Amino acid sequence: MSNSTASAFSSLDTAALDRQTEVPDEHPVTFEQIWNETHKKVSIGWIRQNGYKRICLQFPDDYLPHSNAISTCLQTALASDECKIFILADTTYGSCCVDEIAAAHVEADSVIHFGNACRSKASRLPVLYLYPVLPLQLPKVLQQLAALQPECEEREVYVYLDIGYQHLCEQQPPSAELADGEDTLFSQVREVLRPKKLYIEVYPPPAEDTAESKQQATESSAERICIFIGGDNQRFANLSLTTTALQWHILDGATATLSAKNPLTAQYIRRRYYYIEKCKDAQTLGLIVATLSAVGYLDVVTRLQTMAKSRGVKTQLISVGRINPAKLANFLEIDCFVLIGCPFNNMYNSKEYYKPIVSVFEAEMALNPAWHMKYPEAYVTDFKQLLPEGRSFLSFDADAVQVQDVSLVSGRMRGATGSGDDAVETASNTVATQAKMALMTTDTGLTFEDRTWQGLDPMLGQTEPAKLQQGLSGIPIKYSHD
Amino acid sequence: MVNFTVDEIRGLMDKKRNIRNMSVIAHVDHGKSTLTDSLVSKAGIIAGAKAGETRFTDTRKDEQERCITIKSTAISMYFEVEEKDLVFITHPDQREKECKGFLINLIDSPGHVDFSSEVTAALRVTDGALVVVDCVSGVCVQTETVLRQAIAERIKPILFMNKMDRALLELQLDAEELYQTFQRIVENVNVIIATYNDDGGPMGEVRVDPSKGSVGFGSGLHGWAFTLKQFSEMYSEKFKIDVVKLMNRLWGENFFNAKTKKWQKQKEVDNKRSFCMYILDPIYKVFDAIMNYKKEEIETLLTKIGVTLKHEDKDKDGKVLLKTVMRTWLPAGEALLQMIAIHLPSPVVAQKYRMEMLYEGPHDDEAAVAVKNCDPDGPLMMYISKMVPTSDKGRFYAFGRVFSGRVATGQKCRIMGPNYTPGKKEDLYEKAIQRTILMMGRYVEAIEDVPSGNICGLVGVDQFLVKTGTITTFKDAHNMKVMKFSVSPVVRVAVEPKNPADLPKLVEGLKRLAKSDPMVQCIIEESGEHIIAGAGELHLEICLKDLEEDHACIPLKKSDPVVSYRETVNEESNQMCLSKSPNKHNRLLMKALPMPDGLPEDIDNGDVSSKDDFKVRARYLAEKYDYDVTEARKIWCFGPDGTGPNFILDCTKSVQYLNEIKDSVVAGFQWASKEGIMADENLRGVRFNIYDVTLHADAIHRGGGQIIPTTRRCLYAAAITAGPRLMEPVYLCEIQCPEVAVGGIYGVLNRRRGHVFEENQVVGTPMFVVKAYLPVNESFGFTADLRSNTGGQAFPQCVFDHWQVLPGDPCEPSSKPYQIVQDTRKRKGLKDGLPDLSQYLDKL
Repeated sequence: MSNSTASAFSSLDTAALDRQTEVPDEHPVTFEQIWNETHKKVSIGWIRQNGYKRICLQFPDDYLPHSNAISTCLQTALASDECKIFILADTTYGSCCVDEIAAAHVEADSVIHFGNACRSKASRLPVLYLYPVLPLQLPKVLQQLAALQPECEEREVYVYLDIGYQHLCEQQPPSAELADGEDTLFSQVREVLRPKKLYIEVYPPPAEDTAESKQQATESSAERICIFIGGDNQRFANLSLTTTALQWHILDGATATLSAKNPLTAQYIRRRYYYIEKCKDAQTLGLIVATLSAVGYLDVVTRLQTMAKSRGVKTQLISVGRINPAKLANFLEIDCFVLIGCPFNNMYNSKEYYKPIVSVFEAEMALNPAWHMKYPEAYVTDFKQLLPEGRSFLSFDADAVQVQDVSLVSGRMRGATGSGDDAVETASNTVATQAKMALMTTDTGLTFEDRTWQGLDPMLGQTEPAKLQQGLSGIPIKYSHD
Repeated sequence: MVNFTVDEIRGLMDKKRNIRNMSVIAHVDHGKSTLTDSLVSKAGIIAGAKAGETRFTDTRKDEQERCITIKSTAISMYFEVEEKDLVFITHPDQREKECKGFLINLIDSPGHVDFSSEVTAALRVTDGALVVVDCVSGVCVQTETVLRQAIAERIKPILFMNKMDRALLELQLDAEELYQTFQRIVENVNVIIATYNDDGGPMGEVRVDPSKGSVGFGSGLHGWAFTLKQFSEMYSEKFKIDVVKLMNRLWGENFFNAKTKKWQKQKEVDNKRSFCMYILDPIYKVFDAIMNYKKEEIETLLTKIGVTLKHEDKDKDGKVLLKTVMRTWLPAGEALLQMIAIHLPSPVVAQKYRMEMLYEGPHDDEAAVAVKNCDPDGPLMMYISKMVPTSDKGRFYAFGRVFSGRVATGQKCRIMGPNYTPGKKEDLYEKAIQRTILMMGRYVEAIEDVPSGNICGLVGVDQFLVKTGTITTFKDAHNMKVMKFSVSPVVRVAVEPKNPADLPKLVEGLKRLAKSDPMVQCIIEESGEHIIAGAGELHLEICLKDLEEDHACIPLKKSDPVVSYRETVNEESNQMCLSKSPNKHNRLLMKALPMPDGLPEDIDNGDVSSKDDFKVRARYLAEKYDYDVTEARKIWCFGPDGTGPNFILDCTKSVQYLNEIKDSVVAGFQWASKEGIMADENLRGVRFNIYDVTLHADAIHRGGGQIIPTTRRCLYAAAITAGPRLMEPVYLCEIQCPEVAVGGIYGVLNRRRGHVFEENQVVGTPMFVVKAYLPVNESFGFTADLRSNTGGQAFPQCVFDHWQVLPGDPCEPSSKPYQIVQDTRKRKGLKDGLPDLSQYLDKL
């Protein structure tokens, strides 16, 4: 091979030393932003009022440098109350979720959660969410917004505030609509945009039901303009995918620049349709439970299992902690994974995974016949909306399931055999009959018959007994030979 | 009007020796549908006067408008053969005693190369083929293709020289010239037959021979035709020679001297070729008299040939009269019927030698024996070769042939798709047949049951099959062999609904389209594009129209046609590629190298496949491609999809636990060969060697999770270091045109990166045939371009031929392949730029 070609791909050895590590997109937070007097007052008040004794502070990774200072600060303030403060750093699934399991390790009775939060309802512990306070140059922002004025006129406008900017709203309660002439954010924005109607909301919503009721109230949702004050981050992606709007605008709070972006495009949905087809093709589904705190995940699992069973698809429940390609590739026989996790934990698009991962919503679209021939108006990232009483719930009718179908991925026929006499059994571990002299049979529902390697052949009685030898000990990283 | 009833047909279905299943095949525009009309009118389905214009078997509106057959159409017809002709059928299995009725199941197929998958589907369910050749243009590329396919499927051909009216009226060939033309066509056809058929083979001699009566002459448009048998019968009494003997005299180097009344074997001054003298001369005279309005002569001629005009025909003259006279004198239906009944095999005869080509299972099991004997009392074996749309939108008749047993309404059957393997449940359904029906061109007739040897349609099976499948009642039956198409779906368009909310309708429509055409592929790609892949531009055009109007019923946005590429390598990896597993405890060492020329094609054709015995395969590879035998025995797998034209080879020496990770490596290889490193396209012609493997001693640390991603990374590293290249599909393009237009062809081809490799004149005509290779990517709009540059005189036929390396290094930012790679990556939503080797290659 010519050198020129090689150099197009490989770099010099020294390049590795000079390589820059990836800097997180968001600006590093300062101590002042995440811990000011208000934060302190709120948290101490909350602890004292409820009389908590063992408090966990949960930080996302980029807040960790400040964790000690905050912990000390609280410890000092609460010295009289004999409180113990713990710092939780390692999160199992994502820093947005409250890590109740880790908190349980120290028998905590409460958690204070810092930074990015999904506000999935915690089922076990009381949680106080503390958001950073990011500065916003309001005059500059308003100036930028002025450009949207023609577009917003005669339309409903929603302004969503990202977690760093919610303090703007808290200072002056949004209900202060009557206080005309006052210099509130609400009135200022209204002044600039002159919309038909203006709503200002915080995202993620503080309690789950409020946002919902408001969204249902609006009728002409496809006509509205939405403005997100915050960065182009996972929260924006999440919000904009689930909320239909004529146009989305991001107003970057740090730089006060405005950009238009519509993630819920036909192209996005078409791309996800590929994975939905893949999910329909699957003969074995892996249900990955990547949350422990979100309410309702067990209901979703049961629902998915029922739907899969009616199509003759086997399911396998998997819990492997934070997922990565290596962990999932161990399940060679599974055709498609469904990630049951909090809505902010999005990792569906990576090409590194051996088999595709779909969201609960996509699995629902694939497996529930009620979604057949139905085009989703908005995406559902929160699986609770798919459960009964959820906004996007469609009842599942097992009789309507039509398994025979042409797959547009493989071009083959899919669906189990139509003989119908072989109901697929779910995984079971049963004590075997005595006859085979086996203690237990493990029927995971997976077939390994396609593998060439079926395990060692015991060849009982045909091999010489081996001599005892010193084996390996310790964890693999300490093995001497490698 | 129709001179038979469904009951009569049903009665004949049991007389399996009196059945003829046949397809009509030819080059485009050689007159298949027109000729078929003659038979249809003989059956009384259409009026005789309309035969040749109706094109009854062109059932679709666009077929009638464009005057081109798009879908093959089946029709069952009942005929009675006269006693005097029955004696010509000598083989005991070719006719039932005491039965004059014959059931002809005819399938009219399209001639355009883009639809040749329809021909393949038609051939599968028939035993004989009527090969139609336009005697003016001679044997063309598609004639050869379909004939070759027919022979490969063990279909017996008979030949028909069509458009004699043109030869006489337009070209004004004299008798001897016309004979020479015929002679040449017969020879050409026999050369093709001889190339693909072994005379000592199970089918025996299949050559066509005018003197045996297996070659017909005539004009489908005018509705007249003859074989030597017809004329021989006319003259045999006069000459007092036996009909069969006279037929031999009427063809070839047989000359008659009118003065001496002697037959001679050489041409001499005062003798004349018998074919010209006794057959062509009378025809020429009739033509001459009528076309030149020689009233008296017409009178005498008509009495001579024994034609009495009906009262209403008396006033006609010119072409109209000519048609009427010729049709009365030499009715095409009669000649064709005799050719078919006498020369084409009955299912009883044909299935004896076809069984081994049709059945995948052991040749002595119950199903195989029943097929071989065409046994109506054996287990049901039916092959579904295509789906025919019903008037009920979205539903299809499954159309196929009953090879053994009988299929009946309400019968419970096993429906096996092409991916069914005995003993497994994949692609297998047990369902009842809702209804069996008889296909009658535009109509269908319900029928109670259909015994072996017949062609019919089934209702209620379509939802369990995509395009083809096997239907049986025998529990241990294997599949009937899948059909092999001569064209490939290399041209693709992406479609999307104009209104995004129509997406589910589009998806549903694509599924229907996938069923309705034997060749089309409808796929959703990872990029979110909905792709329709077809054999050529015309094929795609029809598919898109069907999708928009019939299947999805929504307005669509279509992309420009694109081709799919393949990734390959052009040298051995310049270094040993090492990749470590995520836990750093397992190492793989591999290299990639290109396969020798011809091997990827051998894999495509199934000459080298994963199903072969590894020793046989190794010997083949060693002999043909100089592979090391011991290495070649250790091919782990082919890919992508387990069958593709790449493989991974184990070159390691005594590695512990190696067989344990084989499944993981294979999985990683399937993954990497499906999604190549450069543009996420399939790999082609790449061989990967595993040189060494280091594995962790504990099984838990060398599981799939560690090995699969590592294998993929290692394969990518090996491919990057082996000089990656792109391959593009190339058409074999055959263009027929007069000499003056040849220059224009060269110009167009040059502009489109095509190159001519053969150019010759069709003997006896002013026409030239130019053969060229043309990249598919450059072929869009080629036909129109060619026509405008040659004054509409050149007509190309393009068939996918091979994959060709695109010159240029895709890693060189100025090269064309680089641009293609970048465009493809962008379309698929991948990162711009080139893959970074350091991501895949690890240091020791």
